[in-house]
Amino acid sequence: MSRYAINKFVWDIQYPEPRARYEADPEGFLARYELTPEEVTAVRARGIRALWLLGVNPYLLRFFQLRAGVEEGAFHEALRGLTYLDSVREGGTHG
Amino acid sequence: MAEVVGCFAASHTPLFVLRADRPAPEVRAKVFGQFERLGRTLVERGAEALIVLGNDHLQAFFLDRNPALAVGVASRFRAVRSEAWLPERPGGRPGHEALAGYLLRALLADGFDPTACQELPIDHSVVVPLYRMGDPPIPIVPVLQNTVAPPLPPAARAFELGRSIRRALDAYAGARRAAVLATGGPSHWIGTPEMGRIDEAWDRKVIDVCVQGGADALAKWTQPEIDAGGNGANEIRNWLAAAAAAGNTKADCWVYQPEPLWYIGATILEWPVGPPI
Repeated sequence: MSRYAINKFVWDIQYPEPRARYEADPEGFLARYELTPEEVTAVRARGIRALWLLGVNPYLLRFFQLRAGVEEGAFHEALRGLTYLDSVREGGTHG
Repeated sequence: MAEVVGCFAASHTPLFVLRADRPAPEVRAKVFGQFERLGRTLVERGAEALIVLGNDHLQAFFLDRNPALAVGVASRFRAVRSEAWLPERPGGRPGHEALAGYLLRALLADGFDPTACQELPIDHSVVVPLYRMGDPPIPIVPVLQNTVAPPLPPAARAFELGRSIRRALDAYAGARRAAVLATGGPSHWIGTPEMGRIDEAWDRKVIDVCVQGGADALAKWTQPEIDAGGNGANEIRNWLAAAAAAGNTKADCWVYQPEPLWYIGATILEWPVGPPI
């Protein structure tokens, strides 16, 4: 199962009020989630590939993509070479 | 006892709303025309309640408390806030609270463990098909399976759920006629590297299995066989429950229209209602 804290962050910022607080004070907001430095970097960089590899649920990644304004082409480019099937195999990032 | 007047499956992609106008006019007319026909059909057949077999996409539920199976027991259902683009109705959409409470008890007695939700925001899996059907004025009972956050219930469980729902409806004295609508499917990938892909071969295989009356065999597909159709393919659990509720009859395919702009092969199926299985 996926890493809970990063999924929770992505889920929380779907809502306007948490998102506004995040945008006003990204460091302070992220500090509440007990994220690893790698996860913080991925979030701050809107790193779709990094978030995928960190185990963000694909539906949440989609929400993140749309809210971050990442275009479909850029989304695909970011995930080039990765596959859904790899992620759900035993030991995969999304199994 | 409630006569089951129809069992259906219909795709539910948000793009039916968010990109409603982008495909060619003939595609829109064909697909939306069949949705509208579905809405009219439910009204013509006098359905007094509609069980909607859908799945929350981490909108109403999150990973903190995620039910394998949830039943909405309420008189009104509002759309999830996080899909602000969903077409809402004033005051939400009506729920058949009596049938829902009865179904909850029937499922518990039958060995299922549904999560009872006295308030249940509904996401696109419920709202989009209803909206495209013209929002027929039929109270709903949302029955949601986990299809989005592994580990998922095995597909065979969904088939058993459908059998149980049918038994419950056959014994229900509180409505004269009820219908069942599964939503979602067939193949699609959301938030994955393959997003936008449509696997027509996978879709036609699954639809053909249903048309041949083989949903019981589909229920035995392994998780890897389902995974080949994308994370969205897990929604065939909803189809399996509808097929079983109909008695595992041979489905009619009202429409199968692959549309790249919608990331889906838009599908509507009907299982004629036969004896319970």
